[in-house]
Amino acid sequence: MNISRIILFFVMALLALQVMAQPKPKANSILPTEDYVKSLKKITDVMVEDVTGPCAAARYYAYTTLAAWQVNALCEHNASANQVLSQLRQYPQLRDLTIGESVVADFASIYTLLRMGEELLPSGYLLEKPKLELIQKAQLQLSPKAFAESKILADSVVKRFVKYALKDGYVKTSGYLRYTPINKPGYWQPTPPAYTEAYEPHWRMLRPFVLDSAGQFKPNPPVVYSADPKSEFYALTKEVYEASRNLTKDQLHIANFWDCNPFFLNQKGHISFGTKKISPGGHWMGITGIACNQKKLDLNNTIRTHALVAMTMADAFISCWDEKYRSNRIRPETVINQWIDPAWRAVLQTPPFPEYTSGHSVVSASVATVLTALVGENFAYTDVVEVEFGVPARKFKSFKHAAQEAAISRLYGGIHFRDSIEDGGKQGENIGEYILKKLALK
Amino acid sequence: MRFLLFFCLSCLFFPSVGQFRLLAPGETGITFKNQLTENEKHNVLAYEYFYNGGGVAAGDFNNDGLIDLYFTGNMVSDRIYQNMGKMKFKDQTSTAGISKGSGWKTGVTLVDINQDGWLDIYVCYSGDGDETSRRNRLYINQKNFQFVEKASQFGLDLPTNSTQASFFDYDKDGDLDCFLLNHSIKDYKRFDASVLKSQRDPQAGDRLLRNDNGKFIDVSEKAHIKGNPLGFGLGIAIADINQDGWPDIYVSNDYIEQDYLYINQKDGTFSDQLETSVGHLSQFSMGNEVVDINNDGLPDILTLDMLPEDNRRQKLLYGPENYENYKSMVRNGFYHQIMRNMLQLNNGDGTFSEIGQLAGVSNTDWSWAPLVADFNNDGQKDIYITNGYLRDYTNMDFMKFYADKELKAAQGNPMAMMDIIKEMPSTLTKNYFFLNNGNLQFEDKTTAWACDQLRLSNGAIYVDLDNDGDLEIVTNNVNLEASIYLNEQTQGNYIAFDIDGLLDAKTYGTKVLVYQNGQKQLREHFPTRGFQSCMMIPLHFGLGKTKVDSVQIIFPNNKIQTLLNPSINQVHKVKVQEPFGQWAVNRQFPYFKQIDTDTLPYGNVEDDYNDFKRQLLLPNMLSYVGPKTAHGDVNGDGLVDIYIGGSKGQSGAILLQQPNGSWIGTEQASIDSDIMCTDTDAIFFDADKDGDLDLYVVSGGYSYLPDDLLLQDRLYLNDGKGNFKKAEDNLVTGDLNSDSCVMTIDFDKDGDLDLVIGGRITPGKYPFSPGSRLLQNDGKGFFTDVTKELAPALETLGRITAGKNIDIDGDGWEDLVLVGEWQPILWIKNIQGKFLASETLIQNYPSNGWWSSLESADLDNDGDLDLIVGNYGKNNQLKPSLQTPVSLVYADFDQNEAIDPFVNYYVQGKTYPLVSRDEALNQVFSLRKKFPNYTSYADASMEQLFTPEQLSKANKLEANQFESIVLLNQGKGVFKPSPLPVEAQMAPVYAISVLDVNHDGFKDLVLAGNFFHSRIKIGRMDANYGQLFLNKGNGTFNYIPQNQSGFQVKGEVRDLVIIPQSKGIQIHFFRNNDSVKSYRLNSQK
Repeated sequence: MNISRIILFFVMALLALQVMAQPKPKANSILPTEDYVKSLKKITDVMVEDVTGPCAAARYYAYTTLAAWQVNALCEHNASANQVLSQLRQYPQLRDLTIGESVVADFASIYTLLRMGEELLPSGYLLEKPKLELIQKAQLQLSPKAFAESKILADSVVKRFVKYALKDGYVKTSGYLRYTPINKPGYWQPTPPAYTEAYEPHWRMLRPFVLDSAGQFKPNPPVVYSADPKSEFYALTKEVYEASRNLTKDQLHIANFWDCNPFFLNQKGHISFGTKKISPGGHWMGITGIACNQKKLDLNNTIRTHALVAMTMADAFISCWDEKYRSNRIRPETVINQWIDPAWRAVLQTPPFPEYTSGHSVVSASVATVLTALVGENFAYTDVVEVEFGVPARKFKSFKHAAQEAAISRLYGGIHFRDSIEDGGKQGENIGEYILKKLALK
Repeated sequence: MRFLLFFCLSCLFFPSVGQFRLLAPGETGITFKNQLTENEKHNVLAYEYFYNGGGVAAGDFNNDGLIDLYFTGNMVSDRIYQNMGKMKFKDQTSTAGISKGSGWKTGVTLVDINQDGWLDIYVCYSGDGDETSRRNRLYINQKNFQFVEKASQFGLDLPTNSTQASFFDYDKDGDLDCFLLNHSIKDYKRFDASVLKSQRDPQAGDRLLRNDNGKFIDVSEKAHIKGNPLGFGLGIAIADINQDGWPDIYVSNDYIEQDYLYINQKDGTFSDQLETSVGHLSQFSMGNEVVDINNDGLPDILTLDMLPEDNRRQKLLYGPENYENYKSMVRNGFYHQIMRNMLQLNNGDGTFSEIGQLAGVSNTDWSWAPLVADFNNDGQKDIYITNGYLRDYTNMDFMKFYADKELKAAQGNPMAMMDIIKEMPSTLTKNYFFLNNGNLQFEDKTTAWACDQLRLSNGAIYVDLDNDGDLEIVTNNVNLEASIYLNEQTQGNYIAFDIDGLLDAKTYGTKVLVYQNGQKQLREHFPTRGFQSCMMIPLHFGLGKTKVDSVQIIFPNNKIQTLLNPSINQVHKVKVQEPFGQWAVNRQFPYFKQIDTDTLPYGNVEDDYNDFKRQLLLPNMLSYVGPKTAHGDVNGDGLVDIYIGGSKGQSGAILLQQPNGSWIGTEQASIDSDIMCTDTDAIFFDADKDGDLDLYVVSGGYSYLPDDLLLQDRLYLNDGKGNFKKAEDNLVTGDLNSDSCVMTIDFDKDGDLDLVIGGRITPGKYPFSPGSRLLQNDGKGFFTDVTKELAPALETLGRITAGKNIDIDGDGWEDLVLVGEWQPILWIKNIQGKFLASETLIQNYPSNGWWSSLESADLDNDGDLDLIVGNYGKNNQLKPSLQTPVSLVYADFDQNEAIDPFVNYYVQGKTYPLVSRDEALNQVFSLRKKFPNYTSYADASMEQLFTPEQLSKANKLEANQFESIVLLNQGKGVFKPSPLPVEAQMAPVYAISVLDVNHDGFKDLVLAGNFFHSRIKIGRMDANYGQLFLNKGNGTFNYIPQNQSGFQVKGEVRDLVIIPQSKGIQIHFFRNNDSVKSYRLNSQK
């Protein structure tokens, strides 16, 4: 490849970025950017209500936001966006769709977002109300023709996206052989208090959006299990145990801030009940919203950023879950109870799946990589996402700073070993970098 | 027959409508109400047994011959009522000097602690208060309804978290000792909490207190009474459970810790023999009762739990079945526990058969006190069960949705959870009344007997308050006046016994046996029973219309007093001093004796595979079918040898019988090479007509691919000396089906033996099944599949479990009888060498079963073969009939290339899916949108799960008969069905043997089976310990109790073999994942 072509390519990419980054005034803009973010939050709320697990949440975020971005790209005749989207695996064919001349991008995109949520989420019916409110708002401002054309286009894309999602292999996972924990030392066992069965052991069978396969960024194998007090594994175990006993106030805050446990089980006598929070995916969608707002991105770019983040997250979960059920590694709580202290409890509740690699580490690193490219390096912000769950806000210097903190929070929380966090972080960065490169976003 | 007659008579003479009348507080003067006041300090979050309620005690405090009452109030004052006669009561509380302290009061026990002839009162205290508030109180009777508290003087002022005390003389030294039942107030529900099992907890641990001259000394540890912090004791019963003359103890524990069955070792110690005695037990055990329920003279054990009767409340309660969870529980040393009431029938040999579901008393919601007594005086003890819980938070919607939503709405208010619970509606439920029909079957008479008022009842007693010979019921209720049910029955006779005033320590443990017309009834004098309650009352027996032949009164000192033809309808006062005989423990001489020598040197090792992981919605696992056997003389020494089929990972084995009756294994390399097959049947026959027995082995099982090479059946040819070599070319290759059985039949009358193979299941695709096949022998041991040409009837017959070749219609051509799941008993007629069509063998009788075994024999000595057919039994939640079938609706509803088989069964007249919401949704994801919460699924039937269009494309199978039955051959292909005795319905029957045990010329039956691999919700089915049924001579049978048959076979029996030997007839029980258990028929009998 000759050098001038590389430069040319670089300049063009830069230009493209610039074009996209500049909010351009539009005649038929009727909805503010925050309507998109608010609608997405509604979807998050439904997922919290439904106790949607971390993998499923990432998948829902990906399909809902990608569909919205696709509708947006069609309305805006945004060639570069269409180009990026069309590269996704087994992407639905949309050429035959007629795009009315009066379509309104902002209404059509947000409407698509809610409609996708309605279609995909178990309690999707809860989105009917915000959807009707949106329609009402649009009808007040749009001509009947503009409204109708926008809605027709959005409904068509939603239909195709529902089919697209239906064929990603998820539905088949209910027919696969269910997971049986391996009854050998060092392998994952269900953990207290609920001893829930293994979560999504077949997630690797899902079609990734960009990755070649679930195993493309297979991390190094975990540190070998050994009960020998002189072993590296024992040292890792001891580290978790000691950390939990000497947590500073800030470390405890960090653990809780990134807990992202969709279902914390409380038990008292015959009373048991869960208290619910957002999943890691929900947390990062929240961060993305904060970033778009702070950066004052226009609606189109807000939609784009969310879609790329969500899609990255979905692929990161597929990659991570591939490794989880390859290594099937035991959780610190099980080991510590066996070797060190039978009464020891992790600060956070140990989630019901194998330990390696740390999901939060993989996902946070991959998303931070993409956000850094899209929004900027050293983008300082205050994360208030957890405030509604009673956890105070935290300030971050950059997305990567946040990702690193999310990763180490799992050690403070007593649910992950250090190698799982570090290797998970690398795995996530690799995924993020690959997606940026593959989709020519950088 | 006599039973039937008796039953009909009882229908005529005991009209049951409105037998009880609930008396108003104004009528009786009993206004006690256990009012709970929830506030910031006192609530269920602070003290988890906040809603457990109070107790009741009945006894004659003033020795005036009328039984008085005492109620404990958790937060309100206890109340004591003097019986003024005619159901009028006077509240004596204000001057009685009772109800001391501010603590939380629980159980009440009456005892004459100082043996002065006046009844004292011991009240247990618990709660989350300080030590002083928790101290138990002892009120010493000063006569005239005045009492003085003196617990500390006796060493009984323990500050434990106590539920109830029971006094008894465990060391038979003539004074009353005390078992104090305590409960933890900490949270221990984790399986790894098993490390705590060996600890002793000062608050929660149960205590055995020995009476040393009026001082009660803690001897728990020395006596091997457990006292760990996992103990949540809610029920205590004392009874001579093993009938050796020494009092034993049953403790029921809530939550994860199992119950304790302490057998008195007669040396001041006890031994917990729960795990060797019962197969499974209640998980959240509440109140209990140990009393003879089936009139066989042996105390049975009834424990209560929380399983609701109706579908809706069950669906709201159940999350996904979690097999790891269950495994983890058992692996950590907790026993098999399932949430429902358990009725453990005492087999008299140290084992119990749990029959709660067969009896119909297993599902009574959140239950507290069982009262077992004869309420209609018909000679059979009935069951009354109190239930109810103030706040209905034990449902999945509360756990998963409601609590979180409300907590978020409360925005961090620290008292939010308390407020939420306080606002929860209470689900008022009716208490249950079950009439004992005398055949291990109980009938729900709650409404008929006018006991169906909705309330929350806890402690309860039965007592004859008006001295008219029948029993009233008194319950202590939460937030409602105590209920007094006046018994208005007038038909049945009674007899009662006052053992020397009941108070003397030397009377505790007295047994009274009442004999009438071949029936005997047993009661033991231990006053503390049920839940937090006590009945110091004469021992009461209903008599029906018959008089009493004799009464035996057995005192704890083994002296016995016999009354002949005592007068009835009166209370007999019995003096301990009167003339006696000496009681000796009656030992049975059983029919069979377990043998420890000459046993088969073999143990089955089953592959650990969970079929539910492959098909989440299966009703039962399909692995765990072996070991099946074949027997015959393989080496020509005149002795019968055995082939024991292998399981996946363990090859089959040929064992040779030695002239001295012992067995030795053989090296069979060819058989060993098929180690990964699951042998589901085997047969010895001379395939190649060379004069020796060859071996055909059927490969089946579920843990395989649908067309796995390991599903190929095998033929091993014998070299005449018992060495077997696989014949590689003799069978149809590529016949890769999971089959269940093989029959040899010369269907074409050409002089060689052909084979019929029964097809069972397509692995991973339940309920799909391969068809059955006919393999024709060419006379040299080479077989051809001729199903299509000669046996088209077999092609579509799948889900087969067993078969027999019998000439049904006597036309000289052997026909086939095949049985299986979801289908009738099938007769495939041999029409001159062709099997063209199958038909239902018995008409006008529901015969679609989950049939599991089949045997033929001439049971009525009329010269033709009759059939015995094993089925799933009636001791489970699914009880199909013609009108209420169990059904299987299946299709790939979500088109994900996996079959979705939904089992449905009737609950209270309507059919619902068996599986919980989570299981349904995890199988068919699209249902998540339809059922966003548990309430939406709680009433759903198939019609709500799927659209008419989806259902129209689905297939449906039905079963309407789960009873194991006998079919008597009436000739010409007509068979008369009749169910086997109720004991045969206690568990699935997998093996049937026929043998004339008592040498009366009629063939008797041995049935065995059990099944441990059903859904967790169905649980282990383990009530069959190898059952003997004696032929009455006409092909009907009498069950012989285990202590008389001698069988004590635990585990899952899959085959039975009878081998006549010089030392006597041997019978071998082949058990899945276990050794072979062998017995010899006692020649003396």
